[in-house]
Amino acid sequence: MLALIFNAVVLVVFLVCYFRDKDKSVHALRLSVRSFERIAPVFVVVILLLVFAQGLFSGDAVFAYVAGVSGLWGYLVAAFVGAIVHVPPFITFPIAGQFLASGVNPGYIAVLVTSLVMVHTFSIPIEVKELGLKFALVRNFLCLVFAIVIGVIMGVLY
Amino acid sequence: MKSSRVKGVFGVAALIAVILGCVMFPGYAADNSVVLSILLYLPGFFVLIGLFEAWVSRDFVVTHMGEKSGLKGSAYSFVMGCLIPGPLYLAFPLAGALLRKGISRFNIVLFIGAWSSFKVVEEIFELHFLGPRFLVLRVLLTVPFVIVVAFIVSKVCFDDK
Repeated sequence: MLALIFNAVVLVVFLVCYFRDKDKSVHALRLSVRSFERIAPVFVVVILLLVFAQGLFSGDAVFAYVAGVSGLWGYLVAAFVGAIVHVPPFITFPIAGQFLASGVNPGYIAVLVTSLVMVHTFSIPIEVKELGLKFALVRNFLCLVFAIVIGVIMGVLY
Repeated sequence: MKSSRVKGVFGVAALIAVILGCVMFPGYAADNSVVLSILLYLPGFFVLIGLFEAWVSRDFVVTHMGEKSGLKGSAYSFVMGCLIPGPLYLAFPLAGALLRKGISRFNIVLFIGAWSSFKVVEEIFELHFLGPRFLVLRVLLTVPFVIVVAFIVSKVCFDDK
């Protein structure tokens, strides 16, 4: 639904541009195709990784697994599971809400949610292609560490 | 140049094959919504990137989001990251385009951080399912870390360019 609205907005922007300058807008489309072609081979790899990660674990299974661990170890497990597995945000939040209501440590949930949204192991090929290997590794590693820190603080404060 | 073109065409063909495969064999993945959402977002995103590259001047990006744009430039980058919908892996091509137009390194990492953690539409979901207390605490705790990540990554990770 959101994707359709997004496409509609882009279409409107494109039409406005098109009426203002036809040649420039056609040139823009050519640039779109070129940038898509450039990233397409990497995209294939990422989609395969993504489908693989999705096929392995459903969102429910991920949260149930993390909820089953206890102690400080749970924060580490939540962070690493969240980094490797992919659950889209619109599926993450409803499931996270259920587990929060059922009494799972809010710290674990905060780590898992933060790590799921910020650390994307499977899309590292795209990140490397666009922004460089060092960028991708350092950003993902820092986000992983900070996800744990955020979760531990959340666990104390919530 | 020629060989990259061939690779691109091959990549497009393979991508279509993968997406078709996912749609035709729905049993394998836990659900197909992810692949379908990529399929739905792709046209809008790449048209947007093309329009951005053709219409927005380098000067405009440099003055509003470049090295000397200050706090205001960072605020623009942050808000932009919050507002554009779409999964994180589609932010990277857009970030690449912004970087080639002269956005500052700090602002681009901030943009990616905001994109991943504070997407407005996702926050509505978080508010609804996890409650205001969880949302406010998580956002208050995450904002400083996103800024720290932007600072470290922008200082350390760009020596190759």
